[in-house]
This record gives sequence, C-alpha cells and structure tokens, in this order.
Amino acid sequence: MQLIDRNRLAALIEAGAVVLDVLPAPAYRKSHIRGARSFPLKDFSSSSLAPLGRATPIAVYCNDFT
Amino acid sequence: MYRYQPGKVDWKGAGMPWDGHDRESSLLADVAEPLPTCAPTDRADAIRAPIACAVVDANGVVLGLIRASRLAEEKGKTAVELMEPAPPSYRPDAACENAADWMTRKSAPFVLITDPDGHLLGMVTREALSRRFMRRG
Repeated sequence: MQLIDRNRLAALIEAGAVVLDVLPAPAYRKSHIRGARSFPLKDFSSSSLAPLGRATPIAVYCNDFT
Repeated sequence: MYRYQPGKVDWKGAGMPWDGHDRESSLLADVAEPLPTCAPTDRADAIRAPIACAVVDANGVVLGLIRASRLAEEKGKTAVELMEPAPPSYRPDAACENAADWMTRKSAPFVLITDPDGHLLGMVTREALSRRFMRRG
C-alpha cells in the first residue's frame, strides 16, 4: 500500500479514485471526506473489495496518524 | 491501493471539503475573513493592516503576527523585528464555540486560522462570532 499526502489524495479524487473511510459507521456519519464511502475495517476482505474493480484506484483513510 | 496516512483530521484541518453531521455546527471556516500578510523583511511603514498582519515565509507558512498598533509605533523596523512569533491558531473545522471561549479567556479580539502545515487560511474576529451566534438565536 502506498502512503500518500493530502495533495496526492486530492489529485486522486479529481481523477476518479474511490475513497474509503475505514472508521466505524458512526464516525463516518459524524464526518467524512466528501465523496468517501463508508467501509469499516472489519468489513475488509478480498471478496468485499472485489466489486470495486481492479482498474479504479482506491484510497483509504482513518482518523489520523495514530 | 493508497493510504492517506494523515487521515481525516488533516483533511478537515486544511479546509478541504467534507460532509457529515458535524457540518451542522458553526465552524470557523464559515466565519473566517482574509488577513493581510507580509514578508519578514518588509518594513513597518510599507505594511497596510487595519487590525493585524501575519508574517509569512515564502511558502505562506505563518511565522508571526504584528498588531496594527505596533506598526504605527515602530515605522522603521522590519516585520520580523516587530512580530509576535508562533501565534496561536485554530483549524477551519473547529467549532465557533471553542474559539469564542478561548478569545474570551485570553481577551483576544481575533484568532488566526491555519492548516496543519501552518499555512494561513484567514482570521476570525470576535465581532464575526457574535454576529454568527446572534443569527442562530
């Protein structure tokens, strides 16, 4: 997984990347990056990610560094 | 796959677009106003600032703050000589109430708004916060 900064994420969003918020759903409802989808970490698996396709870039984030 | 390691806190703190229930609160980004800036080597008599001026480096990172009253008193000095270094600041996604509490405790007429990298985004005055609170009732 490649680590990116804010500017790179903005560029990926501009280019149509899928952005996944991996925090629990209540945290997502409280606030999330515009356009991001709620995808809590507990739901991650190769089968759950498959519908997103392999061609579209995917970026994930949580709250902060910690 | 990419991981945006600084996370949501960094994104919101930089004033980037976000959504969610927290948007229903009044945020400092909603009441921020521009603040004049100057370079460290600018002379006081060349700086125009009705309230204050932020001293910024070549990348726009805040180095200090000069209040308008100091500019009038010390015309021959440079910005770096007059500034208060490392002034307090808030992020644009902070709630108005938090900044209002701080300004009241510190008797501060305004506060700077910066992103997580220290770039100036604006300022919020007590007057602007009062108008916002009165509108909400």
